Amino acid sequence: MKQHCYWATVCILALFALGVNANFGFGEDSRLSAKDILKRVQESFEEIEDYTVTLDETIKMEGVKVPKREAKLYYKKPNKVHIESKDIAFIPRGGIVINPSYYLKEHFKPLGVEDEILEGVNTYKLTLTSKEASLGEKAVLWVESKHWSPKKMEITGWEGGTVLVQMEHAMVEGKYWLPKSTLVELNIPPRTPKRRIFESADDFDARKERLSGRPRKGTVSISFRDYKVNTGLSDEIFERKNDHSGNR
Amino acid sequence: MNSDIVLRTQGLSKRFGRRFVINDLNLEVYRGDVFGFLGPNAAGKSITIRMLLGLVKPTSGEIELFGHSLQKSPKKALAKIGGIVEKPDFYLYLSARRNLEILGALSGGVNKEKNAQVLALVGLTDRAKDKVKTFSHGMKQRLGIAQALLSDPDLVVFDEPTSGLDPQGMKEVRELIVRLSQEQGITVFLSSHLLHEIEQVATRMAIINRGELMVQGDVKKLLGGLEDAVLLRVAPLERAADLLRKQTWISSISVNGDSLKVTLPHSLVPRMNALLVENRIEVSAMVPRRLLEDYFLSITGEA
Amino acid sequence: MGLKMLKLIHIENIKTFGKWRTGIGFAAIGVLLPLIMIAMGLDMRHGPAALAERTVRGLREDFLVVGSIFNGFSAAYIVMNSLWVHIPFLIALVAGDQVAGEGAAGTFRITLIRPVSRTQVITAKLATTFLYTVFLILFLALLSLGFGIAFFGRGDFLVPRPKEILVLLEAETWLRFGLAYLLAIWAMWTVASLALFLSTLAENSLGPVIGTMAIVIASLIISKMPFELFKMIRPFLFTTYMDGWLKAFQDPVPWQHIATSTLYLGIYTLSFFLLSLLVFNRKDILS
Repeated sequence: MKQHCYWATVCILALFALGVNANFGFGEDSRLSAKDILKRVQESFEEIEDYTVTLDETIKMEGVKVPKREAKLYYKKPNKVHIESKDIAFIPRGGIVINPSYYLKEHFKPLGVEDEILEGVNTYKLTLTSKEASLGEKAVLWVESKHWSPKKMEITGWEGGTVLVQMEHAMVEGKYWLPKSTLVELNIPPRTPKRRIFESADDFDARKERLSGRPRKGTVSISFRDYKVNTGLSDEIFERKNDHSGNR
Repeated sequence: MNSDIVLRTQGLSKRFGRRFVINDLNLEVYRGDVFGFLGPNAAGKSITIRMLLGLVKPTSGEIELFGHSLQKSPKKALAKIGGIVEKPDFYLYLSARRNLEILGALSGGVNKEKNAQVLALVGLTDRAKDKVKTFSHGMKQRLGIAQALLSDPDLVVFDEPTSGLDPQGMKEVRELIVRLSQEQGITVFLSSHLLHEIEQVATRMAIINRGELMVQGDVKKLLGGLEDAVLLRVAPLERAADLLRKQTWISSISVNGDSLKVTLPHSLVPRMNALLVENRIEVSAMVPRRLLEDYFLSITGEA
Repeated sequence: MGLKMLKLIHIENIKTFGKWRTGIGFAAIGVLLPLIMIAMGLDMRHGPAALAERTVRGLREDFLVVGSIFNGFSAAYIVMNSLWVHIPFLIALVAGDQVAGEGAAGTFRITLIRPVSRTQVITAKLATTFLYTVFLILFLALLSLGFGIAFFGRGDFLVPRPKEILVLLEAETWLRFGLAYLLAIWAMWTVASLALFLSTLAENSLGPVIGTMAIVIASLIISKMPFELFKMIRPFLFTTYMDGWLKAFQDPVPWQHIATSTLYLGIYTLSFFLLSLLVFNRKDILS
């Protein structure tokens, strides 16, 4: 009888240990740190050496009246970007997070992570703090756990306001998971100058009226189409005018 | 209205500020007249002519041209009138022909043949295409006459038409005026300070002074009773003087150096000439004093 | 009657366009405009290119600005600022000479003794002046757009506005420029009418030209100064309504404002013309 109880206990303990060590997906992943998640985001983007894509952009913003625009975006790993447009286009800096891992690693520091279900999709919610004051105070990034792509990003403290970026991705050429559409919501109050030392109230009011900027409030929606991935883009493209080099 | 009256003014007055430059002027010009309009400087001749041609608005009074009131029916009144007011000014940057085309169009339309005709009449055919700024004063004056005749006028108003012309030019203008009147039956209203010109061509005249009409009428009637003074250069002088002193129809005679000054009725001058010739007195010169000048000076009180 | 009027206008056209002074405006635009375009091209740090940059500077914080923000339309738009002072001067130069010039030249002594009414004469002069204005503005349009596009290309137009980013599609830009030049012609007709009126009062053409420009410039200064007294006067100044060509580039186009401005300018134009009629019909030709 004593021998029977002993082997039963060993089996239960073994099953327990197995159960603890088994990889059952979300349960084990919740143990991933923010760094790990960012690493996985980076890995998911590793295969992409370069691509070109056509952007269709619509801006709905106070004080900005711009027709629907088409532009062509060129990307080369890790951070070369060139945008071309036949006509004038205003592309939101936050709305074309090309190589998110590079961008996030360079400019943000992860603080923590928690699980969240966003629109029916399992996501990891990372809290990040920016390394530069100009990029805002804090960012929250939602990364979906299937393809490790950013789904949503919220930056607060960007010039006193907030920037919200929502992204949808899709499979391109059967193997690359790339953005299909982006919606950027800006809510930035008007820029006002700070009062100087020894400056009188009247002088400050006059200067404020002269220098205060417009509020930047509205949305920019971009859809991406006609991807051409890993075609071996030459560096020459990124040296052309109308260019933005530097991944922001 | 008498249909023979082509121009009439009634109570015509013009005031600038408080000063009347023309006051109650009543003129009558008959068809076929060569009407001399005289007056000293600043008498108001030019203003009167400007009023007659619609350039200046009268303060009061009426102007009738061919029975039409200038104030009420200016287009009808001016339809058959041509004129030159002081020196004629043209569009200097345009040719003579172009100037006439413009003026003809303003007159209701004048064909090219008429343009050519008036240019030929004043001897400017060769210069038709030249810009008026290249014209001499005399040529501009002739062009001025041409434009006055453009619309086949029945009345032509000339204000100092020989101004600035050489003696030959003056003669030509005088002859033209006579031709217009006698051959074409055009009534001429002529203002000039050259009294001998008026005396040679005018049939009727009016004299104004300080804006008021002094006298108006037939030239011969106005001047007919006047005596003429004649300067004679004759030989032998003494014999001629003796002979003329005996004539009762001669008012006075005096020796003036190597000539005789004789005063007698204007109409008897030929008789005196015949008498001298009959008595074998050589008449080398007979220079009349201007009759009209005397009359004019007496009327205007500036003798 | 209509035929006679056409004939009179034709005569005034011959007289006006035969004068060398009428060519000054066209010569000035023809010579200066290409020079201005070349200068713009050589110095993109200043002038209209810099203005375009200032327009988008505020957005560069948040946006990448791609494409050409400065092109031929931008250059032509800047040239339109000559409609405030320079073009009115060129118009006054011709309009102010219409009556005073003939008076000084003495040609009224051979024209007004003709069986033609003074009303017809002054109306024909006004029509000719209007025609000159149309030609001048169209010439300005042709050269500014032509040289602008030749030097700087074409495309969508970033309208330089201090408080707004507005980009117009190229096709729409052509229409807006068309509207702007039409409104400019209408505004310049008011200047022409004023100069013609002053011309009836003067004995030589210098006075009307200077008088017109003095009125235009003084009115513009009053329009810009922020004093309460001037704000009360502003609605009565015709220059207040001369900005229709600027309004043509707003979005949406303020049709109500344009209609009101057009109406007021029309009233001023007619009033100046009626005053011209009154003075000219009573004028004694003494020169």
